[in-house]
Amino acid sequence: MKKIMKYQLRDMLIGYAVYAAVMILLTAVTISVSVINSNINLSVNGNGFSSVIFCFAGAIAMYKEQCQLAIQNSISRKDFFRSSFYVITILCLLCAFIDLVLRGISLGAALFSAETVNFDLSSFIFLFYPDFLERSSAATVTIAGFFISFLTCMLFAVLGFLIAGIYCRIPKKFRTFYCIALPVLFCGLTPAVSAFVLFSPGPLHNVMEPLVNLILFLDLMGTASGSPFRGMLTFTVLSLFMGWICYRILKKTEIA
Amino acid sequence: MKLDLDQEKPIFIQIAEGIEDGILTGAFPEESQIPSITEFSVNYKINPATALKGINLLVDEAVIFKKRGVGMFVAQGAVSKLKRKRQDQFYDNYVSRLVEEAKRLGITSDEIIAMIERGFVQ
Amino acid sequence: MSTIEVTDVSKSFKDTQALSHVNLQFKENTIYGLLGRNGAGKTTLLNIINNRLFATSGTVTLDGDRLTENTRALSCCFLAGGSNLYPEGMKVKQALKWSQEFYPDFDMDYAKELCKMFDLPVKKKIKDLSTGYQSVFRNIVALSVNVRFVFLDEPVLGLDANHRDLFYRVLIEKYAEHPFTAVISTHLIEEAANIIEWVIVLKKGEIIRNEPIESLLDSGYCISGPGTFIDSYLEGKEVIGTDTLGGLKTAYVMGVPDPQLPAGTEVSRMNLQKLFIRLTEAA
Repeated sequence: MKKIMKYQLRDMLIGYAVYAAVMILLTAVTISVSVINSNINLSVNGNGFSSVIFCFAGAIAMYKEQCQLAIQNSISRKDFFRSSFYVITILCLLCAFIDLVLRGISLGAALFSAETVNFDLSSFIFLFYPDFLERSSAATVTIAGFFISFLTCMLFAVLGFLIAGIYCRIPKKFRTFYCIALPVLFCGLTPAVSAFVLFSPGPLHNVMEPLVNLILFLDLMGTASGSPFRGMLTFTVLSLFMGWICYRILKKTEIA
Repeated sequence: MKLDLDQEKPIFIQIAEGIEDGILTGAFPEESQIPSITEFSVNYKINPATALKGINLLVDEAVIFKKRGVGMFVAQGAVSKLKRKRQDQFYDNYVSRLVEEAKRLGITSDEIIAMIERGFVQ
Repeated sequence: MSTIEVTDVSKSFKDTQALSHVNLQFKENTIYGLLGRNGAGKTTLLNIINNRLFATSGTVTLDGDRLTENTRALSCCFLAGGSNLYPEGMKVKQALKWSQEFYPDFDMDYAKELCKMFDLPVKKKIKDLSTGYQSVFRNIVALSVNVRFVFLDEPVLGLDANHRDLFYRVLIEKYAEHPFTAVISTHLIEEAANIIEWVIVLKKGEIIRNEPIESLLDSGYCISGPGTFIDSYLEGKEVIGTDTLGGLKTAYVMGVPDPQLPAGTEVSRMNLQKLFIRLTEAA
């Protein structure tokens, strides 16, 4: 397992180094311009998502090529999976760290300019937990922020892995359809259908409404109670569950 | 030494006979080293085990001996040994077939003797 | 004595039975020939042994340990298969370097020497190589990994005559100096016949012959001569095929020739390719 992990880490770290350099450079340039020219307020919003997208895309890219390389070189699927899981965990930790750095930069910048610029993922997520932000110390917020970033990246990385895993498992003739159907489903159909089902009267609505109420009641993301830890728990459970499904799929995947 | 890979005779026997020919013609002088198993097998693109089998035939007849760590050598007295062996086999290898073919073609024994004498003169 | 045992392996795809109850043994330091027509199941078998496909039933073991999904046992094997499983954009040089990482006994100097011998461009991406050179590349890796069991799926596919010749020489040289087990599946039977020690013949997913090459070739003979004499001779014999040219006939017969042959007929040894064609012809 160590051999394939060496390869995966090397591959991943190269990509990460480029990503981190770009992010920091972008942020630094933006802040410098903002601070120096105080009449220009540049805020880079939403780049917290870049970590998530990087982890998501990275996991997908990692899967197919490295899986085949592993099998070619007599590594079992089980060892490949274990190694991959460690590597994406490391990747997500590193992305969460970058997130921390960006947050630090944005807080530092706040000292110089009146505008608060939200550079990082954790700031975005804390929008959902305003009470927590208010009542906790800076240190707690930082640590919680780190873990929230980590778990969010982890969730999307495992999701990417799962998507790639399904792709490799399905017969070749379905693959094109899968590649088209997936984004259409998530970005188009699912929201449309959900909106339709939730807001139109009728039998479906009667089924959906209690389900939605149940989810809200369970407060899976902890937004109602103001505790991000619930959200973290949900993400952890979801990640582990998806990871387990990935493993089951990988075990049955044939490479020829 | 040419190998006829399509022929009747198993290849290991052809290898053995080829080396014997080499010894008799002087291509492999007595007490000199013959090519290694690897060289034989690579040259003729045959399995080394086959080459080894052929050479072992000669080792069993004490025509070739192996020096550990060095290689394989033609034994002293190999030439005379081989000549005797082939003389003994001469009738079976050549004469009986010749006679059979002659009978098929209706050539008499006197005519064969005359042809043989002609062969020795040329 | 290391052995790979294939026990009662069957494989069915959606609409075909690719392999049926295959039982085989691969011993140490032997060159095996895996022969079969297109679609007989050779590649499927090799892929199952090397953990690429899963058998529908049956097991594959190495010295008693399960070979499937077992990295430790699998590290004693290498399959040079028919498809390129290296990452997009990986160059030959990098692939060799990583092969060394994955296989500790990989001989890099030897691999580089082979690349020179075969004129393989090391700076090129693997996917950009021609079919022939992709085969060459896979063969070079297979010959350099130094594992106990090397499986070669159609190693000379797409190779020109010079490279084929060179491949056999290099294979034999390596085998003579450092014996290992090579399992070669090939269509070019005549070329490989002199290298193979043990023959396995697959027909429609089943093993029909599994024996040393000498015993397979001795299991039958060719008899040729005037058609009428041959026909009467063939009565009661197991004939696996005949060729007729006018009045002359050649028959391929199993067993041992009669001590008394009809006049004008000649007996000769069967060659592997002819025997293979006869054995695997549709019944």
